[in-house]
Amino acid sequence: MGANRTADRPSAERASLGSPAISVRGVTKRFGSVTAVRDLSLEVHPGVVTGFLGPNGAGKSTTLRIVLGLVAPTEGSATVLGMPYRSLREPTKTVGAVLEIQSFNPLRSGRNHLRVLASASGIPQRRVDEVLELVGLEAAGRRNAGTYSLGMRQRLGLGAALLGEPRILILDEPANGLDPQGIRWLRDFLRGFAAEGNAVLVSSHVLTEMAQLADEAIVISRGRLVRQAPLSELTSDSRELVVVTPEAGRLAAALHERGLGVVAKADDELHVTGGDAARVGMIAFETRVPVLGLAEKESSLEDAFLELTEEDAR
Amino acid sequence: MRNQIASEFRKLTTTRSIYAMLAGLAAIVAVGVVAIVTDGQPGALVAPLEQQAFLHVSLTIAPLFGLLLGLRSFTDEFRYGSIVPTLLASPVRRRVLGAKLVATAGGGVALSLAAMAITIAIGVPLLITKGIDVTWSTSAMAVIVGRLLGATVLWTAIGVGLGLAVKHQVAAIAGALVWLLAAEGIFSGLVPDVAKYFPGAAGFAVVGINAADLLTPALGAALLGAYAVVAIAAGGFLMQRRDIA
Repeated sequence: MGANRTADRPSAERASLGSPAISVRGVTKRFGSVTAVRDLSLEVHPGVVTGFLGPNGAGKSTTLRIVLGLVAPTEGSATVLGMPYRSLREPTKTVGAVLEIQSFNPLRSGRNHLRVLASASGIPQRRVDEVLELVGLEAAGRRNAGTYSLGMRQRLGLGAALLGEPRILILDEPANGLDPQGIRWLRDFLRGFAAEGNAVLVSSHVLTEMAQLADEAIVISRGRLVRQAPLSELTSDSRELVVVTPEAGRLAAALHERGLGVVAKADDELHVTGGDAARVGMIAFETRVPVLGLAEKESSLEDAFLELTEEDAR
Repeated sequence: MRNQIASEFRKLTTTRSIYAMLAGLAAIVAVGVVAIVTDGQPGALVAPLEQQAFLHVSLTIAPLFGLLLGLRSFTDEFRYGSIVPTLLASPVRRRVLGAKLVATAGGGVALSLAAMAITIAIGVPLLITKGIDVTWSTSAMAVIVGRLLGATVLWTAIGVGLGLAVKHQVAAIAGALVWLLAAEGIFSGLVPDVAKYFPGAAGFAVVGINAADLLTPALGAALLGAYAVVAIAAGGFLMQRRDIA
């Protein structure tokens, strides 16, 4: 494959990305006596931004490094488009990754850093200037990268990942050091990238950030998969209704009869799960119970996340 | 592989490190040559160029700079974290090792040629100002330069392998310098028959300094080459197994 292939790929090749883009099967990684990842399996599909969530030390970075062939799993395997990363013919044209904020020689300019990486992948040097512009570093490109701010370092890392115009992006805590504008830019960029049929796996321990970035969530804790589900499902699972009524006993019985989850929180307050406000209101009407208050208590992603990971910790 | 070599050469030329090394080497060589020629009695200086003592400055120092260049090749990348994007672009790790061997050998050759050029550019005019008739044998000079380049290339390879094996930059450079500048000297005083097989002595044998006590240049080169193979094998072995975490 020639170097001229990068700039304009045939649209047929752009059209379909194999699914799953990333597959981790039964991976366990032990560092000495520490087990960083335990029997972890997950899949990342094209078309959506997949968030990789977990507290610090949950094994997110180790998992990403196993996918990228930097760390060898003790057991199990990880593949990109069905192949181990190390067997990919043109790895950086397939996967772009940002793992650490500092991954460059501080005495080399940002532009030269990208030129070095472009050479290694046979990417034409003119692509370097395109990428610098894309990540907003055209003005700083000729300065030594050691002088860059945290946000600029993140952008340089992202630029390196985008050099080969990959179809899959893997970003480890990319929002670290980005200002709100930068996060919004990243969100729009990743959304657009995924919408073109590409795959994105982005890790974070900051949940509000993830709520902005991701569509799909993979939650791990202590090296184990806790949950893989759409982000919206993760929050709606624990969505509760708060009902205030003087006849809590009768209403609770009626709701229970119809299969809803009911917890009495006070003499006149019920917390109801498994139905929306309209359904609960209608049941109350049918039961002829006065309702003094009916409100949706949408627990935040953070609550859902804490619930999931605490369950595991028990 | 060709892409990776191009990338490694670009790494060498895009920080000021190699230019700083070149400047340092030039300064040491210049000072050394001037000191030797101005101190020398005119009688001692009457000799063909290839036998001039001031050549020893380059022959001693340039290979050492080659070693430093090699030691920095991987340890810089571990130190700054650039090993991650390097291995993402070239996940076949032995290919990165091979490319670094080629690029640092090239860098070492450039440093050595520069050192020799400075030596001659300063030494010859100084001899002339002392009224000494400068003569030389081109073939003898070619042999000296060839030995210098050979020694430098082998030392860069030792440096690349050792740096990869040790990984930690300060440990690798300090360890190598303490060994070469102190430990080997002590051993050569205590057990000269053993110490002449050590890497530093083998290196001196290649460039033909202190030839009386040492191995022949060819034997020295073979021995230094063996050390290089061991260093590369050790570094390569560890690299294949090492997690970049």
